[in-house]
Amino acid sequence: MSWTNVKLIFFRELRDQLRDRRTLFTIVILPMLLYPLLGMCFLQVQQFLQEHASRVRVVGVDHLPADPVLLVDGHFDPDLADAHERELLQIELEAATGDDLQSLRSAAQRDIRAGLCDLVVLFPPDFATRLAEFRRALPVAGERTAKDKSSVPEPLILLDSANEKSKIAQVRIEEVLRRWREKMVADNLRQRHVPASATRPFELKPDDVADDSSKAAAVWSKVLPFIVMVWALTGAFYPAIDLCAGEKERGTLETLLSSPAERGEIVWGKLLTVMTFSMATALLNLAITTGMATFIIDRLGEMEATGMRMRQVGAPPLLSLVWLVLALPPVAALFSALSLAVAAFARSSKEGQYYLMPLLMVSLPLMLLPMLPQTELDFGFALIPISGLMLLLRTLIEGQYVEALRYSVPVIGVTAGCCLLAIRWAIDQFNNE
Amino acid sequence: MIHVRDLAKSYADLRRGQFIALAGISFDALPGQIYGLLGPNGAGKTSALRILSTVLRPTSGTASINGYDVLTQPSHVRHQIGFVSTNTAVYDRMTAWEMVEYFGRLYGLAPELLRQRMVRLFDRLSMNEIRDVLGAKMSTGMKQKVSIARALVHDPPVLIFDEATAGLDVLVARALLKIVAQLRDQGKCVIFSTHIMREAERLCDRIAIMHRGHILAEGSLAELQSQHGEHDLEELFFRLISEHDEIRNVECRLRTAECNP
Repeated sequence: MSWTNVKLIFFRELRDQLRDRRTLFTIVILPMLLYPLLGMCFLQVQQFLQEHASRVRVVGVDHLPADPVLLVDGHFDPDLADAHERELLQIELEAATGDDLQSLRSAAQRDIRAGLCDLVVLFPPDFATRLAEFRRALPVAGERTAKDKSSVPEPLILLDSANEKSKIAQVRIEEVLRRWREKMVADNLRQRHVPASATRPFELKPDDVADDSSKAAAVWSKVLPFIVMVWALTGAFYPAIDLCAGEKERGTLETLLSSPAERGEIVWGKLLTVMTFSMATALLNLAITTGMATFIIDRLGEMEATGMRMRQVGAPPLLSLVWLVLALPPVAALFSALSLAVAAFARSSKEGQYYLMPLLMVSLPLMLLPMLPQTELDFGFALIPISGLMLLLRTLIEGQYVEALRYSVPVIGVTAGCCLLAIRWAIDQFNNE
Repeated sequence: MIHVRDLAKSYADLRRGQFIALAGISFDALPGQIYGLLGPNGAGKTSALRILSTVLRPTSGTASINGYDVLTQPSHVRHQIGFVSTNTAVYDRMTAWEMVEYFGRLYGLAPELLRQRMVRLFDRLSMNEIRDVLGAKMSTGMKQKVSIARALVHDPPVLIFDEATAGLDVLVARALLKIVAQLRDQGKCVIFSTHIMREAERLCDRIAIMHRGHILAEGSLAELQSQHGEHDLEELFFRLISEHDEIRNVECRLRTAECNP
């Protein structure tokens, strides 16, 4: 086999693909435009949802206890909600005199579904009376209790969990009501001369051994390999179809087959081209999605509801990106060889798309398998193409180098074996052309 | 120069079973000669020429070009031939110059020699105007010129033209036939397949009339005319084909086993 011919074919195919505006648009321009656009839209929607005041209706204000106070001048008590929280809770107060609980509940459900409010807090008609009875019946030190908590009717929080605004309103209102309940508990204890610490004799104090970078690696080690795999496959797809089935359709393959280039040289030249595009697509998409994700996480971290969770995730660690880049050549080689072998079987671009679809259908579950909880790299997984490679990558990103080293030989062996089989198959296809 | 013996090619076909494209043909073509393969569509001309150009593998039989066997020495064979057919298209996203240069380099020509040959070829085929035109923007005639230049760039001793004038207008077809005649005059061995009687009559030194994978008659035009007592090639062609089909139908009826349609 002449590597000069392989190089010639590779550079020709590369130049040909780079001159194809459709390929360039799909692989380069589209992700550069689409992801920032989608990211900005997502951020705008999140920002709108987070900063948008929740419309909360409090029904049964006439049944609220006088102490501790929940509402002051039509707003939540400043001790329970600060000015910003009160601004984000646009409340509408309603008395419930004379109505039974079921009819109040039906009316609230109807109004939420109609979009008249995001959430309804419904205090039952006898809430204040029963609560007062409960508090009076609480034993003082040394007495046995006669009543239990279940005799106090529970305020109902009616929401629409299919509606994002309603879920945000729930987070906000539950925080205020939790503070109100804690204040009530504190009052109860104070009246009975019990120290507040009696309810919490000790605190649960988790001591996380993971540092920030490990926490971020744990999250990103599942997400980033999947992104790389999906885009490496997508990036190999269309060039493989164009370079094999497309050339047959256009009649240029016969020209090449009657030239002195050997079938193996043709396949290697085309494989390197498909690999280049697969790697370029994966890298570009990885860069853009990582950049966008970092930006979005940064912005979401500033938002109240998602802030803490997002701050824990953080930006992808730099080392994970290094591992991804290093793992890209075998990943791209595997998908390129498979795509090329399947595309070589097709006689037209349309047929190529039909044949490559099953490859996608088989590859996707193998990519998703390592994302399942408690899936770890072992000898069995190491022998599964794609899944083994993805788990090895995850193990490397998580910093478990000994584990990764132990299974790297079977993973690389299986990947190389699949590549060689696919290349052999593609050469056979060209020989039978 | 070209020796073909009992060359056969069959394909497995789901509907028709085993489809025989070539039923063991034999012929020889010499340097300084245009050997014509004349036959209707489906006669097996393209299969024969694709085997000679090593694009297809024969089912049985042998074929050699300049002493190299098409099956065992395909890469040597490919250096000996230039192949032009209706199917050998040009790359849409390459200019005429780039495409001829690409194939010249695949043939292993030294850069300076390649450049000299390309300059000469572009002059000879009047291609300087389309030198920097992309394949996608070329007319059918321009594309065929590029294909010829690509096939001639390594100066092969054997040239194979498969229905090379199909789809060309009269002027371009005439120019192409002139080039083919010049190549013969230069001592090249040319195989030229066509289904146009007039082209075969005017151009070919020897003609093989093919039908359903068989060579029904072979010889120079004068030999064919005297052997079959028919002066008009078209009439001779129809007579041979009709006789062959008639014999085949009788054989089919006599045999209980199924035969190819």
